[in-house]
Amino acid sequence: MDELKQYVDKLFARAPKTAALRDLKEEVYTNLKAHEQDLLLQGKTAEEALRAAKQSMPSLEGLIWDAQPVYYYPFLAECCQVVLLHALLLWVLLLPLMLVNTGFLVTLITWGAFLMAVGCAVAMLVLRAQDAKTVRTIKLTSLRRFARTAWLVWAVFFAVCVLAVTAVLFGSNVWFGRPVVIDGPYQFGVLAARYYLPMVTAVLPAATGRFIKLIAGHEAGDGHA
Amino acid sequence: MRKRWYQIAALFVLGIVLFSAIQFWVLPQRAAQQRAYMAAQNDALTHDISAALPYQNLYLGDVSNTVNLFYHLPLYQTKTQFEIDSENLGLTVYYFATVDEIGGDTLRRDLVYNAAAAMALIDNLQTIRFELTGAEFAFTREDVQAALGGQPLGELLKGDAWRQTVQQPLAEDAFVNTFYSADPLK
Repeated sequence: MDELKQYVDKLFARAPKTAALRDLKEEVYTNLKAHEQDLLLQGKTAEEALRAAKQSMPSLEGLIWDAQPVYYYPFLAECCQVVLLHALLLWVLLLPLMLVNTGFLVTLITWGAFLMAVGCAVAMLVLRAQDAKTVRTIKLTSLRRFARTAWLVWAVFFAVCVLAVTAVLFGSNVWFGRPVVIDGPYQFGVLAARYYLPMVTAVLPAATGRFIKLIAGHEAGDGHA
Repeated sequence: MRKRWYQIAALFVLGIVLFSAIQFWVLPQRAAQQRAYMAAQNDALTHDISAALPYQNLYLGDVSNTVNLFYHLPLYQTKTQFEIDSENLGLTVYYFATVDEIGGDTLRRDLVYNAAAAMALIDNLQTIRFELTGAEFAFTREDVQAALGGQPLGELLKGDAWRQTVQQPLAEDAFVNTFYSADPLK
C-alpha cells in the first residue's frame, strides 16, 4: 500500500466526507506524490523522499475544519434523528434497572432519556416542515468543540457519580477496615447497577460526536455558498 | 437515514416490550411474592426465623437491635413500644391492640413464639412481658426453656431445631397452653 496515501488518509480520517474535502484530499495527495517523485529524481532514497514530502506538508487544520455550507434544516433534522436513536438506546439500556430499584436518579435519567427521544421526534417534524433548500454555513470547529464539551460534561458526571457511589457504598468499609460483604446475586446486581448508570450515559455524548460526519450528506453545492 | 429509522423502530418496540414485561409482569409478581412473604412473617407457624438472625445479640441493652428484632417477628404490623428493665434484665413490649383485634388463639401462639425467639436471640434477656390493651402476658426464660425441652434456647437456632421444637408444636393448642397458667391474665 502507498505509504503516502496512508499518511493523507490519516490526516483526513476524522473530517467529514464532503465533496470539497474529498477534492482537497486528492489535491494534497497529488502534490505530495509529485514532490516525492521530484525528490527521488534528485537522487534521494525512497525513505528520505517520503520523509521530506511529509515534512513539506503545511498544517491542514484550518482547511479541514473550515466553515461548511449545508442544507440547514435537513442537517438539523438528521442530528435530531441521531439523538433520538441514542436517547432510545439509553432508555432501553436503563429499563432493566427498574428491577433493582436504584432510586430517584435512575428513574429521572431513564424517563428523561425517553422524553428526550420524544422531544427529538417532535423537533424532527418541525424541522422537516421548514424550507429544505435553506443553506447556512456551519463551522466544523464549533461542532467539534460541542462534541468535546459534551464528552467533558459526561466525564465530570461520570467521575462524580462513581466517586459518590463508591464513597456511599464502601466509605465506611475503608474507614473502619471492614471487609466488603456481598450477600448474593441480587445484592451484586444492586451494586453493579449503581456503576452501570453513569457508564451507559456515555451514549449521549457519543451522539454529538456523529454530527460532524452527517455534514457530508447535507453539503450544499458551490452555487449556494 | 432510513436504516436509522429501522433501528429507532426496533429500539422503540424493544423498549415497550421490556417496559411492559417489567412493569406488568415481573414487578407485580415480585410484589405478590413479597406480600406473601410478609404475611407469612406475621404468623408464628410460617415465620422464617432466619430473617431475625441478624439481630442476635449478647445484650438486651442494645436498644436499636432489640427494637429491630421485634420488627422481624410476628405481630410486627401492630404498633409497639418498648421498655427495658436493665436491673432485672426484663423487657416489656406494649402492643397497641386488644386481644380481639388480633385474635385470641393467634395472639397466644405469636406471643409464645416471640418470647422464645427474643430469649433465643438475646442472651441476657430473662423475662419478657407483653402488654396489650386490657391484657398482659409474661414469660420467664426458665419457663420457656423448660417447656421447650430444657436445652439452652440459643441452641434451638441451629439447624432445623427451631422448626421442630418451637414452630411445628405451636400448631397444637395444648402445646401453646403449657406456656400459660390457667388464667391467661397472669
